[in-house]
Amino acid sequence: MYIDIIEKSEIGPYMEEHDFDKLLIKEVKELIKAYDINYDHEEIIPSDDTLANDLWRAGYELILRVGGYNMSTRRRLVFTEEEIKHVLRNLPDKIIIGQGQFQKIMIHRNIEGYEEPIFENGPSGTLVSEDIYFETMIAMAQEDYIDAIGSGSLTTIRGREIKVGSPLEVEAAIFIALTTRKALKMVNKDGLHINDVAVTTPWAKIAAVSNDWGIRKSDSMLVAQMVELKVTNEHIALAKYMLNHGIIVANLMTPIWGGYGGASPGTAIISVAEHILGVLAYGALKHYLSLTHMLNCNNTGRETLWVISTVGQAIARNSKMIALHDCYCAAGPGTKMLLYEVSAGAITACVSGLHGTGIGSAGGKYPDHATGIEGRLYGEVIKSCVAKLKRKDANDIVKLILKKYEAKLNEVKGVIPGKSFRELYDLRTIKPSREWVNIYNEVRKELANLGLPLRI
Amino acid sequence: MFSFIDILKRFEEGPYMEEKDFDIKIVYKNIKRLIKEYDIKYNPEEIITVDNSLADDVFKAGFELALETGIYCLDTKRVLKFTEEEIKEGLKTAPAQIIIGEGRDSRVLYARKIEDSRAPIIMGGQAGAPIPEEFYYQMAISYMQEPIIDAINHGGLAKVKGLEVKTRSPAEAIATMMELRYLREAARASGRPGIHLLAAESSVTCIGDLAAQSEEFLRKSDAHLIPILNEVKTDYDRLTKAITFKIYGGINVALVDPIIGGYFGGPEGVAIGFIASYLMSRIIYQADYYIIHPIHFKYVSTSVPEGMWILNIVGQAMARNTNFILMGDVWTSNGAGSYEIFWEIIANTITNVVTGSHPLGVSATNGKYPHASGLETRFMGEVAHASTKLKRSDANEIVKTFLRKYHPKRTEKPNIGKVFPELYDVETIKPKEWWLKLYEKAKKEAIDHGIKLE
Repeated sequence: MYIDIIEKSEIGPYMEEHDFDKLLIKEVKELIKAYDINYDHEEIIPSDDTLANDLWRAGYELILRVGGYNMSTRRRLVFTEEEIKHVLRNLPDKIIIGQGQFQKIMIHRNIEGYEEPIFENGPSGTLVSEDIYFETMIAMAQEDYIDAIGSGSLTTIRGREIKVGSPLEVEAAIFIALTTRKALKMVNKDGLHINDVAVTTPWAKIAAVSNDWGIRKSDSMLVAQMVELKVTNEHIALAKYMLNHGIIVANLMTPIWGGYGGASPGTAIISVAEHILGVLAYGALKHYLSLTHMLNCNNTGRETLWVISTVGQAIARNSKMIALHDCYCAAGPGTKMLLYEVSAGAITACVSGLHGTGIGSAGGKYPDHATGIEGRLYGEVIKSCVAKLKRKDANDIVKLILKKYEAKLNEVKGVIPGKSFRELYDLRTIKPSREWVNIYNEVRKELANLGLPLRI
Repeated sequence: MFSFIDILKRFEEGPYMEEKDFDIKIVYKNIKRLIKEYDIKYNPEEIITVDNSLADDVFKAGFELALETGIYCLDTKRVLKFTEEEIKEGLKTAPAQIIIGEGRDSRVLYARKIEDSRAPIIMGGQAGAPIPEEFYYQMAISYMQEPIIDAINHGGLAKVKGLEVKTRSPAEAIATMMELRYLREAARASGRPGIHLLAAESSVTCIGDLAAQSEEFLRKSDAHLIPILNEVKTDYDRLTKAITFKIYGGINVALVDPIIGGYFGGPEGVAIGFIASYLMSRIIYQADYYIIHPIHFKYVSTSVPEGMWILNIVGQAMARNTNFILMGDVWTSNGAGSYEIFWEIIANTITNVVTGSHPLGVSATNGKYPHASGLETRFMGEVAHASTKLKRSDANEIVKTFLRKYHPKRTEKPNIGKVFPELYDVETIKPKEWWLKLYEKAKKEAIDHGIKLE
């Protein structure tokens, strides 16, 4: 069965965007009630399988009731149950990423699964300055515990500001792909999977595809959904291009906690629905849950970690989708708090059936506030917890870690910038400063003392 | 592991023998002895056996056959014999999983185990059939557009632009390149440019395989078939295929398709012969995966009781004793467009998947007519996925129930169905309504018999 998303975008019911939003809010509220989805602040990582199943059903039903919205044609995308079932049923439960000795099998993970998760490291959602782009990517690529690399956005190209939709985005896409590939070669990891070139305009990404210097068939690129459950013709076109070139489409979702879904239950339902829409509209094989708290711009607080865990579990129990936690933290590099947030996120992802990616330090709000150290810790933690922690144990540890930063999170109601890459790394040797490494070592010890299975 | 140079040298230096003597004095004699010695018995009531010791005995007998007979080269008239250590080395180095295809279309092809609950790889196409050029492209799309199909093994071209493809003529090169061109274009049109192709079916000799070895046609992530000639023989042509494609970096697939009623004798001998052929093809072809295709002397199809028993016992013997990756053929007597084909698909596919192989097909009408389409292969895929929930004893009962529906009535006088353009709208490449309805009806019947189709 072939779902013609272009046709659906043209013949679906016409609707103004705000009417679609209203419909979504109404249906989500009804579904929270109908499926009795409740948030329990003591169970950040619930061990309740029925909750995961109910959440899946609610998200699935949201797609049936609301579908998606094409902002270009202002039409609602309507799907039949048969279409949804068919597409979900035929998804592969594993994909191959990377090349040569860096080729990895990325599988659909199970709750408390024994399969090692993939970790993709990069300056997620963060602007990186042109003059230190190469050094930043080396800092990310040289880390252990990483299976793939992601890029950050670029501030300027030859000193000129890159505006959204400007042809300079094409040059930016080429620069990012070229520099990331060069960084991989520099650390002898050519062949490692690249997960995206971070430019906003979809068509600009096409310029980055090149088997020699850019995005290869063994790589992927993110195709975003707009908040919430929205697509555009441009994004569909990018996905079509990628499908026809055999490049893995990665579904980027940025649901907002405190937005149309309200608090945790509604946001979780929308998140599940956005996973399904990513398959239906884009043919995605990887799914990035980049949940964002409306104030702290992170997903490592109590309420958002609950969403990450329950959505991960719902996907793991009821589908074959390959899903990742895209870790965004409120604190910036050089702070202990960032490392606590990263650890809580990694533990939650590991036992909830997810792979990991990130890190969006300081919510990705400050240019150059991203380093390799926070990814080092996320990668180590997510891989160390495999087969060693059950959900209940993980919940206990995460609550202990939360005690270390939750008050601060509630107090700032925003992000904590921390320090920039320039301040924390020697740009010549691309080594982290002693100060930053000491903080990292201290936090590792604290985590081990809390019962995390890290080798000290 | 042997180098190809070593193999060629050994084929020149091994004991000289006339082909007839090899067939009768070596192969036939040893097979007869081994069947008796290991007490191998075909049981039509146990198409899928639960007897692990029988599977192990078949494996041991096959291993011994490989040691006793070796493999015969038609060009040098010499026999290449192996030591026990050499065969064991082949077993040790066989890959338990390989990556096939490219980019987002790549898949992990792995060695299945008995009653394996993992999803099998579905290889679709009317393998082995001569497909007319006029609808080759559309027919290929009908398979590739099915998301349940992971890889393609479609038929070849018997004629190119009206030119008959004669064996060993340059037409083999042209036809194979055309075949790959159509397959590549169909893959791109279906949004699956990196899908794994097991191809170059238009050429009997190595000419076509040599012509197609390039990224434009047969890529390194693709595969081609190298037959073990019947029985336990090879020639310079097949060896050229194996050597050149391996050096190119591609994937070699050993095709073993002995005749039930040939020099291996009945089902018992054929099963033993299969094991020996696999063990030796690992060494001489450096094969990466293997096809199980028993040919019935009368019915040809793999869906007859003897054929399925062989698929079952060879699959189990290999799954229990090796890491070899097996693809079990689904060749039906009936054609697409008939209802009977679905019964054959159910029985044949369940047998393959439960006993350690991935399904490959559907080669309707035994590949005689292009009476096939993507729809019945979708059905094969769905049955295959449902089969991962079955135990051998339950599977055996279901297989026998469906077997009774089509055998011998519809294997003696098969309903050959219809040609592809009568099954599909060749413009939209969608199955016609009546054909879709038959498929839906068959799904319902399968579900009613306890097959948990999703």
